[in-house]
Amino acid sequence: MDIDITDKPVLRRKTKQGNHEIVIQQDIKSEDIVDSGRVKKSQKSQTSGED
Amino acid sequence: MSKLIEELKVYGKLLSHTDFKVVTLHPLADETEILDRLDMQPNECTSCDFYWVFKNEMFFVSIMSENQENSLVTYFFKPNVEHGHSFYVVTQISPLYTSTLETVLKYLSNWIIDNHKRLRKRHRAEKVRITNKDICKR
Repeated sequence: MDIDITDKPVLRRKTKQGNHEIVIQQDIKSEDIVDSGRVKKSQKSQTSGED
Repeated sequence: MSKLIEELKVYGKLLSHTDFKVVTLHPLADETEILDRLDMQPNECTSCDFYWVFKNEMFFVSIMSENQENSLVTYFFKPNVEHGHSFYVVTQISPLYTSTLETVLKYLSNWIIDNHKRLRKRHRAEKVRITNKDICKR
């Protein structure tokens, strides 16, 4: 899920494993979500139906 | 309990220099070797998430340092999830040391003991503000 964090207070931090994290310090609203990588179930079932 | 400890170790090594059964996901200001490896300074350790096993239960705890005076401790319960108990702590103390984490855990241990029966009976999602005090300040 891609979230627009422009103008949102964020905390950038590192995990012990060395991974970078961004913590958004404000509630996320539906309009903040700019893209989603989820596969639509209807597309998936159509594809599998054609096989 | 030992099964839970094994489960806890999936998240990493148990935190040393403390009797609490904890695995931290972010470094603390006194973990100098880890800070050197990550090229971090102790004063950058302003937040820490960790898993904690206590009273035959696993808890997720998040501690955050903030300059503003909005200290608090909250408890969340998520039903139908294994280990659905979590705490969120905001403190003005910065950076966070192992001793800070121990202070938090002593407070939370007492709260869990006092509310143990209530915690076991929960079936619905719940959010409780435990206190607005800064529990890291002595």
